[in-house]
Amino acid sequence: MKQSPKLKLVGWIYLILAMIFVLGPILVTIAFSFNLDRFSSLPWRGFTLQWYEKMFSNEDIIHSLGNSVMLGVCVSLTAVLLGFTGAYGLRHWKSKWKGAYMLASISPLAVPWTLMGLALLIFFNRINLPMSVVTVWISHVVFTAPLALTIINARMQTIPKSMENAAWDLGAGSLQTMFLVILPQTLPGIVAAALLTFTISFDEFIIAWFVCGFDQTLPVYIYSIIRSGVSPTINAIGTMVFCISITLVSIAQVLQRKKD
Amino acid sequence: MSPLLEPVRHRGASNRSAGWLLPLSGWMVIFYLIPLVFIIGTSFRTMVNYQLTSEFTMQNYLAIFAEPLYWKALRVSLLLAVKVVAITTLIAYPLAMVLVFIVPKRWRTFFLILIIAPFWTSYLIRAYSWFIVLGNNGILNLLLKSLGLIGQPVQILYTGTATTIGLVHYLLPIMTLTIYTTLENIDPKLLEAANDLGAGGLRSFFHVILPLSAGGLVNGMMFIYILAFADFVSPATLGGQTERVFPQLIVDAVQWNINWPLASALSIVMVAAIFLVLLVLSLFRNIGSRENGGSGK
Repeated sequence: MKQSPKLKLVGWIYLILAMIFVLGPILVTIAFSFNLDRFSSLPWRGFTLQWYEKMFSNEDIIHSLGNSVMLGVCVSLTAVLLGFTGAYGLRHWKSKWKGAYMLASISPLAVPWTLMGLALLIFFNRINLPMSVVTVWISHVVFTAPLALTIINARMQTIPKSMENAAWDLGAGSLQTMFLVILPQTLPGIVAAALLTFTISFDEFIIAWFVCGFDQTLPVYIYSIIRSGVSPTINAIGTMVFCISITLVSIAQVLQRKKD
Repeated sequence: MSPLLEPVRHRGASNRSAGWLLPLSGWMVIFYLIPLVFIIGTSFRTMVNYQLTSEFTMQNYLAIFAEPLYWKALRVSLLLAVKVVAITTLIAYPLAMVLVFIVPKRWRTFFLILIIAPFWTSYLIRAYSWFIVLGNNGILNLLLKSLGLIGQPVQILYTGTATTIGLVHYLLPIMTLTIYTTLENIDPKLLEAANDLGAGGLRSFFHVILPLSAGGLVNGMMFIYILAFADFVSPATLGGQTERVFPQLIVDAVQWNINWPLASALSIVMVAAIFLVLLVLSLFRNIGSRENGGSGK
């Protein structure tokens, strides 16, 4: 479609305004995490790293950060493992139920997290599993595995069946075919899924709030302090969390969008 | 090993494919389906001295339907969700159009990632970042004051407006991505054809672009409607709990009353309300598309 220069200009201005809306508040938070003033407002009083020092000397923050990192790694590994095996199974499963199975396995993504969190809380309580990071791990896999499945499945579908058949013809066994043909070709999808599921688990608050018990994850800790208002230490935590997430997610997005 | 002597064994793995599905299926049955069954079961129980009773009762549901507080919260949540979906869509659609039709191809991924990536980052932190912007001494009030537009700071934080802003900010990226994906799949030849046949920009928008992107648009709206309805983070933090939304009542029932059966019944009512609206909408959509099909030339 051809546009007049005027329309183009309006379009670019709109894009920039939208970017300011989406990224502006986050950039402001990052900026104020370095401001000397303990009130997050203008005028600017000078540069400092003291809020970061404060953050890293706070035991609650370090403890919950440790919980969240460990949790993210475990969730990511489990989700990718389930997603990969699931996608590989689906590839070879010839059944009229395939579509229904796919739909059912991605349905956790459409269930409101409040309901899912409560359902899991009741379930763990009923089977006498004490609430801890372990229960959060189990819960997070429930909705990150479907995501890993869709990402890995999309990537795996780009591998032609003929390539697999060629491996068979050349005498490769089923495990050999998987490790030498399917796995390397699917790798970008696997890495993208791993990064994205880590980030989601690292940032997820609602379900974690229901099932973490006294093992606070970082988002649960953040929730407990932000309702009391703005503080420069939260700005520092926010900056750290945001930088970790945005880096991982951007890599994942690039990996997913790259074709071949 | 001499490959040529090996017999051809195509699709040898297909019998065993079901085995590969076991880990995922097992996890989903145990930690997804069974908990859902449990929550339904629990909603028909009561709690006495922090212990679930075993007898079946409709008491929780009856209590919910008899209590005006819950009806009010349901209405507040529904209105909020509808408002958020409308605003988000109105911002996201032109944004996606700019990305597809104006931004040059080599820049698209760059801008798309900048806009989409925040969706996957901490929603709590994103909500929190608005505290700094919207507060009485926040950036926005300072800006408006220095422009001479206002004398006194405007109270935005801890109002419904702040809740709405937080939710729109949360959902805009995913809505933009959904619309972007459908717009990107429209064959440019169709637009050229419309142009060649003398259709102006507005006509090709209403007769080509909008109908062809309607599917993705509606899917996106449904998705963000669910997320907006079920959210309590934005209302509880930015909104300062000025108006109780329905999910907040569920949280209260768990946190303060430790009444899991009531909380279960509330969350089932919430999901029912959400999907009832979606069902009605999809009926309208089916009727609409049938009419369109009938009047086609």
